[in-house]
Amino acid sequence: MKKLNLWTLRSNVWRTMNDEKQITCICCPRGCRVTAGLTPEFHAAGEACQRGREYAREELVSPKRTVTAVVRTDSPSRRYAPVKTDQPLEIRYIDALLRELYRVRISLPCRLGSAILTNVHGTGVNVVVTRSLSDE
Amino acid sequence: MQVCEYDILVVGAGAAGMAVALACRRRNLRAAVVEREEEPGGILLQCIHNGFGLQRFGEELTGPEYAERYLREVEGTEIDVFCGTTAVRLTGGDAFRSVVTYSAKYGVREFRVGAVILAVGCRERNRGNIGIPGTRPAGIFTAGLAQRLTNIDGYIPGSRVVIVGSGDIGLIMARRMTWLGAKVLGVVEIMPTCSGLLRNVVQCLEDFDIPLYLSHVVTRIEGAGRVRAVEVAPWRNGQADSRNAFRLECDTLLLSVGLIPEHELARDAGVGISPDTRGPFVDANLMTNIPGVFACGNGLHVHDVVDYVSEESERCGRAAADFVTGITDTVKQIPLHAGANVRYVLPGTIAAGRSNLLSLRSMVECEAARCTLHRGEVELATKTFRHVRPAEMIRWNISAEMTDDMSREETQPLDITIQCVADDE
Repeated sequence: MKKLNLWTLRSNVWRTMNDEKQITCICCPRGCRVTAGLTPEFHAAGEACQRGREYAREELVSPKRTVTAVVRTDSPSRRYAPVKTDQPLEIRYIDALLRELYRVRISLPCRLGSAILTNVHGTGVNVVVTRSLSDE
Repeated sequence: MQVCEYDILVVGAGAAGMAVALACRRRNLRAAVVEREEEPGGILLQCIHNGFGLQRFGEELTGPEYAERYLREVEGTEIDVFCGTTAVRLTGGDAFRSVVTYSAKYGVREFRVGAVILAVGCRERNRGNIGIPGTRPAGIFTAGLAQRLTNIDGYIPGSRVVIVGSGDIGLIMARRMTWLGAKVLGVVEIMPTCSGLLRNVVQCLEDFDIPLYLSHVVTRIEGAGRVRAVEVAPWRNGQADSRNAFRLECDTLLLSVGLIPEHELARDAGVGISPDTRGPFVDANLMTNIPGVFACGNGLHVHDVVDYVSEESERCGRAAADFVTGITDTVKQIPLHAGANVRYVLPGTIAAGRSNLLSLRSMVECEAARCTLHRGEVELATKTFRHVRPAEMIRWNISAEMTDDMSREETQPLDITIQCVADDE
């Protein structure tokens, strides 16, 4: 719990120090370059539509990404299984998650969609297997 | 040699092969699929990142998840899939089409079938194709090979990486390598624009502050046993500007410099190969110049997203099923050529009196572009597309009404052009 507060504090400091940020909107192929900041309140410029504005806000407040990776299995023939987060995860937790996945070992057979980690860092995000594999 | 008889033989059990086989099976045809690898699924299985299926299923799937949807469906039908089996010779003929296959498990076989569908996929271009000078050390991989090593076999190809080419596989591998703990020093692209999708530039490069060197080339590879460094130079007026060259110390070079449809099986059978797509020439039914031989997927032309491969393959399967069941196609087909600013257009003909879905690739980048279908000076159809880029394929459906009167006209060839109506920014 303490660790979590530290993270929040750090990201707040970071925010006030580098307030305005250049963000490329990926909502459509137009790819607007949006300049956005959070102080004194949220402001954005350069976006062509409301979606770009919302995207920029999200990218500033809590940017998230879907993480995909592979994890080791206990099988000698099928050594790795692909996995993903079932929802986008806040970017600041990604490194810790990848480190954790590096240590995970799952046993086969596994079913597509079955969870191997739940509630990553209290975010409600789970890591699930993305391929059914049997130990043949 | 064992002879096997089927209505349809599909070569390749990747995204295209599975979709086309299912489309044939839905018409109650006996279909077999031969696959060179030990399991079906194709390249999707190593594409563990997400972003597949948005068009087709309305949700974001990873490659293995997309493949599994089709694999389950194939397993639930009477389609015979022969893995570890390589098609080595294709011959056309009046009574049947013949494909000879080699396999450690099944031996040498001849498939005698009503129609052959080539769903063979594509191959990566490599160092030899782009001619990078220098030594020949270990540590040079195509991006797709590196992807297979990391995602299927679990090996990490290197720790300091330079990527040549800004295609999507290269961008995806930049993120993958970073997530595996490697340092990606940059992506070097000869063209002035990135050839990958925008969201990949943002999520695979910008997220990690990986530099994208546009209009740059790798001019030398250094290293004896292993890659030690590469020299990168700006590309100006068709040559490398060596005075402004710089060195990047790295141990790994990944090449993402384009894909070529694997056309040898077709070519050796006498199928005409397009110099623009490097895949077979096909008509409005996706049939090649050899009757009963069809092609779809990345073995026909390289697609941006798998969703379009699946759609095209289903269309191909329906056309092949029509051919086999003797539904004779009396529709008149008019030749279609790529005109100004169009790198290629597929298929090579338009069928009169029915709707035609065209796939075309632009040579220019602009905010809005007008595509026009001409017969000589006459404009037959026109449509404006937004955000046109060479990296993104344009799909244009020419409705049946538009082609209706073509059946009455003489068969003067048509051509298709792209014209920018508003420049970028």
